[in-house]
Amino acid sequence: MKIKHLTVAMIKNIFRYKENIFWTIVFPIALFVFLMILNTGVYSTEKPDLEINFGIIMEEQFTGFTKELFENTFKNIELDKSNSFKFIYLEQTDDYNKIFDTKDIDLLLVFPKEFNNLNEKIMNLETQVPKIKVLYSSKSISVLGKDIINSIINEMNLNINEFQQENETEININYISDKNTFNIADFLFPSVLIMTIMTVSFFNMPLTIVEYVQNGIFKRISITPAKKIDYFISFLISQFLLLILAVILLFFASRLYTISENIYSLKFISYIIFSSITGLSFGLLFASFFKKLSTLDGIANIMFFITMFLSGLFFDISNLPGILKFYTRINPITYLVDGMRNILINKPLETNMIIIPIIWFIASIVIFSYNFKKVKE
Amino acid sequence: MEHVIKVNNLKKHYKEIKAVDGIDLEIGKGQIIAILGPNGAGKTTTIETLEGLRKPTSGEIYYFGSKVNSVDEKIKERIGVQLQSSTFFPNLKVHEIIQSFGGLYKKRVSTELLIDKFNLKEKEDTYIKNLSGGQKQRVALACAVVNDPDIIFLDEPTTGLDPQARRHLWDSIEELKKDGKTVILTTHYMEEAEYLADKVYIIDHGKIIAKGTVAELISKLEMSSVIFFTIENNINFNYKKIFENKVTLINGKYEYETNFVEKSLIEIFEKTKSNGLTIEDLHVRKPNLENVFLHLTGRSLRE
Repeated sequence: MKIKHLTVAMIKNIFRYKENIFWTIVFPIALFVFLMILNTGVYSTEKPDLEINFGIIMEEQFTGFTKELFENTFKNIELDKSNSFKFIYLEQTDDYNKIFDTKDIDLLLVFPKEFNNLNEKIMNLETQVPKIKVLYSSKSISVLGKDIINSIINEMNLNINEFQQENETEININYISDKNTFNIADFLFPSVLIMTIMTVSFFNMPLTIVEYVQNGIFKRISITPAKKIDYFISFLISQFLLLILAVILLFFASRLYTISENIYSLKFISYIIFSSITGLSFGLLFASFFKKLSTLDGIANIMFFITMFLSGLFFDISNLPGILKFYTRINPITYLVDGMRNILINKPLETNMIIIPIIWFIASIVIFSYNFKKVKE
Repeated sequence: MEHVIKVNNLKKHYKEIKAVDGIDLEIGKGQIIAILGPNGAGKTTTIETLEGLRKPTSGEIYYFGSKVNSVDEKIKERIGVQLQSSTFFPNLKVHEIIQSFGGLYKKRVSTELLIDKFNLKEKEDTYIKNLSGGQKQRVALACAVVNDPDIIFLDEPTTGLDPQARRHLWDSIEELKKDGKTVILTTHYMEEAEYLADKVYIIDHGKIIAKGTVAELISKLEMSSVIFFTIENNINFNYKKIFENKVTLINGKYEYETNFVEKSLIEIFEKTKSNGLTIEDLHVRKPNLENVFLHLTGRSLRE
């Protein structure tokens, strides 16, 4: 009950700081959207007309009803000059995934062998019509093309149903994402997530601890029957909730863009929690060294920017000189952001991405426990 | 008298600094005790040691007749504390902060009752950060009694308040006494100790240099009261002859030193009237705790 009362009080207190809400929640979302706009070029006015190049591969020549259906839909679209869709007919290839690198296409439709089974299917014969494969990349134009293809296939299905009154035959699509395509959202989303965790661990948490100590709030609570562990847990919960809210809203913002579905995977969410716990322990460590709010504020700003720039959040850090390189190697943020990116692109987590943050976590807790009382007295 | 707190030879040393250096206290139930002393005398260290915020270097502390090694939860349930500079969560409203603190105790007084008792009704939905100094102190006092404690520690409760706010707080503290609470307050305002305290401990350099009721402490001084007066239009008159050398003229003011204030006042009024003089201004300076402190230490309380 004591923890509940303290937690509620602390949550109300931190959530009513406009600065907390802005820097922890609003700013990261705004930054993510801004960086996505910069990197995806959707702001551009140079290309007002949308041009989508659809690659089409037919693994066998269409015949009969299938041919007629295809021509009625695709050829009609081609003839319509009001749209800017271009269908490029391609030869068969062994590796469809490389086609985005070699051909100027945004999306690839593959009509597989035995697609002509549609002719028999509409005659109510027992047969299977294989799914159309749609290969798309993470580029926004490709994703848009995917939606257009979906509409076209729906139109084809309507035509089939008009022809076939009694039974229902349907063409299905198998969407295949080209995971080898570099997706800026997969790169930036972990950066902004980690930046949000850093905001809580470099600013909110240590500044709040020092403020509570400096203003005698912890002292006042310690005269009540509440134990130290009660208000420590309450404090951590309140900070963690702020962070969770920021992360959830960032997830909502990510829906504006095409981003790896892995962000909803248990592995990624677990890694966010792992990163948050490491980050918060980093905040405790930080708070234990400073008595004055003004000193901590200054140091926190310097450390935040140094760490942000030297963790590869937004810039390449592979070619840094000596001492800076050393910092990137001992800095847990470097490993956490890389870990998140690896999960998003289906690469396995490296040992360092777990071990180094754990070492920091343990060291932070030990130093905090030893240092906090000594410094704050 | 039943002692709610008894302290024997309490010491709190920080390396070479003897913040508290062998203090004895005996505090009876329902009393208001003032620990009076200049800044740095050891008042706050003394009561923070009693509250359990600091560990004593040596000495014995008895709460409700039992010796305690540390102030545990059971004692904390029965004491209320207003710290010298306790800022609460600044973004909580008045009723929220009282409620939050109430939630930390087994026994609690209703928030509404405390809001009424400490005249906070108009401010109950105001954020702590937007309150005036006096209002904040009243909230702090409400939080100090939220558990209906037997003993209330108030560390310089009126420091920094304007005279009106100070007076309001004194009224609130008197109310606590009426409720049967024991109040231990530290202050460096002698008028606060004089107004509120049943018993005063004067402390300097970590030691108690005098204790007793205000009257007892002043009577030990053997100091006279002084009546100051001026005559309308500063008319010169033979004051030495009229008042038989009992009056002196210093900086345009007549000063009459006496141990019998009432009798002397009648004499002054009668003699000035019979000589056709009108008194323009008159006031009496009685010896006070400031004089006691000055007498004991050779320094002023505010030095």
